[in-house]
Amino acid sequence: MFTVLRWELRQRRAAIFWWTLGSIILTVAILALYPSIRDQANQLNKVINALPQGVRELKTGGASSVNVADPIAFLNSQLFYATLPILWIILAITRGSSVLGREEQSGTLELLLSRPISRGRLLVAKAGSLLTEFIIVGGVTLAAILIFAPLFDLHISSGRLAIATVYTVLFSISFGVIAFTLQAASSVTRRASVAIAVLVSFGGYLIASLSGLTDWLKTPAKFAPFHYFAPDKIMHGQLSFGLNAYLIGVLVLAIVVSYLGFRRRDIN
Amino acid sequence: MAAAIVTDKLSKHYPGTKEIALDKLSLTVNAGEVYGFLGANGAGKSTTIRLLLNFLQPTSGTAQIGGFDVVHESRQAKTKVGYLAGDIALYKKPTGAELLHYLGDLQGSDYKEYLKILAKRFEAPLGKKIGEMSKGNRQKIGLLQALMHRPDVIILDEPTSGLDPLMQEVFYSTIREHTKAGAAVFMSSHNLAEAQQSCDRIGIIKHGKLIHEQAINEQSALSKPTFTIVLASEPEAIRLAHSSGLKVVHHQGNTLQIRPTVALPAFLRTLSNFQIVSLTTTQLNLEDEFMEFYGRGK
Repeated sequence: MFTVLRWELRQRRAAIFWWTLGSIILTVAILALYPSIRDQANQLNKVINALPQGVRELKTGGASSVNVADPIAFLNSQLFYATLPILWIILAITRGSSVLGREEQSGTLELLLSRPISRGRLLVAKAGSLLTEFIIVGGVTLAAILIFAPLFDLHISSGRLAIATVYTVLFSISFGVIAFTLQAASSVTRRASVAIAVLVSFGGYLIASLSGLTDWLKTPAKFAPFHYFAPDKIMHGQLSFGLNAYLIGVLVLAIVVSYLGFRRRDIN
Repeated sequence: MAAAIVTDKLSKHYPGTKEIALDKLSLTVNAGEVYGFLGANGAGKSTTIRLLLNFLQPTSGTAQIGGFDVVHESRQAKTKVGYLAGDIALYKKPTGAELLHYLGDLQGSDYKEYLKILAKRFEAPLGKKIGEMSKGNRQKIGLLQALMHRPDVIILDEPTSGLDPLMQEVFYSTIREHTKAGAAVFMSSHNLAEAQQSCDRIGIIKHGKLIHEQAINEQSALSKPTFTIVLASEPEAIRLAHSSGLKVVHHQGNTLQIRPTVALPAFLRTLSNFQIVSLTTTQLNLEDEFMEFYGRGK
């Protein structure tokens, strides 16, 4: 199992480096904006809070009003609610759909399955490589946040920042797990895995964010994972039951569906 | 001899298709023998191999490798197996050595010394990135990964595809070494000449059914050569075509492709009565050769 994990990370080392570097540059660039935004907070708050609620929620989630001078509100609206998740969801879906699917499509999966490694262990090793990749990208990005946030007057406790980053990683990776599970489960779901993961993530993001604009979106928004993702609340120390239930639900379903599906299905 | 591969009424029906890809295949491959599995495209050769490797789930029936059920004891069965896919897919980024060590480590048995021997014998460019290798060199890497752990059961799909004649000879002698050491080889091929050269027994599959099995040294239509004969004129060719002791495979103008149905001396005596411009033996091609079997609906 660790042989496959090591191989995966070795093959991905260049990509992991660039994704990590990209995440750091984007994060530091956003953090560096804080002092100048804080200095113009009065005007910016007026502009942002004058926006229709739905448009405002595209950046802020469920926050009723925005004060960009507040470090938590700033990090929520500029970093944790949209920017980092969107970047990492792209990585998660790309990797989740390819870590097994690309190997099956190219035929190299047969090289592995002709060895004495059970399908279950292979599945765990592949999922482990996806997780490890995110631990590296998210871990280094967290280190950058912890180092640079105080330098730009964003004084929030390290623990709160760490929890917000961990939840952002877990939330982002959940969509990769959905793509991965659909790849593993059956040859039918394999073809639709990317589309479904994109629909649940970005479709859900739009529905959850725009639900403030119109009443009829309020009910479907409850089925969108983004509805439960509120980094500002996490940074205030409030852990969302809905978010935790979603993350645990995805994990449990992923384990059951991918194992039962992949264990006995035909390899194409 | 102990059975290395045993299938019992092994069947595969792909969902959404009318035809049965593999229909109650029962065969045995013994330790120390090379079994050639022959058939036209789509006959069921690859389906059989993919069932043996548990890439596909059987619709019914069972298969065992080294006494282990390929479905329920797949991992144990694969400790015994070396496998080369037809038109093998390899990772492109790593070097040959990196890939082979990865696969060797996954196999979990001692492979490093024998890998060095095989790499030298096949002149495999292990330091080169696989994506930069020619088809022949990629095939060598494929063969090395199938053989390097000295498996008890070797399953090969079109193993000499892309190899030059010199390397084909190296391959045949290596396979012989393995069978002398007790390994069983199950080899699918289109190439009858290759089967004749390297196999102890063959099985012919058509439309998913095993229609014929024989030891390769048995006298049969399959083991007889085919001659391409150019005669001095077309009437001469027609006259020869109507002679006894031969079967016409193909006739065009003054050229005949024929297969003797009598012993070779008698056949040559028949030919001595005709004005022959040239005579060549033809490399037997499964597609042509086995049309007879297929046509007989045997």
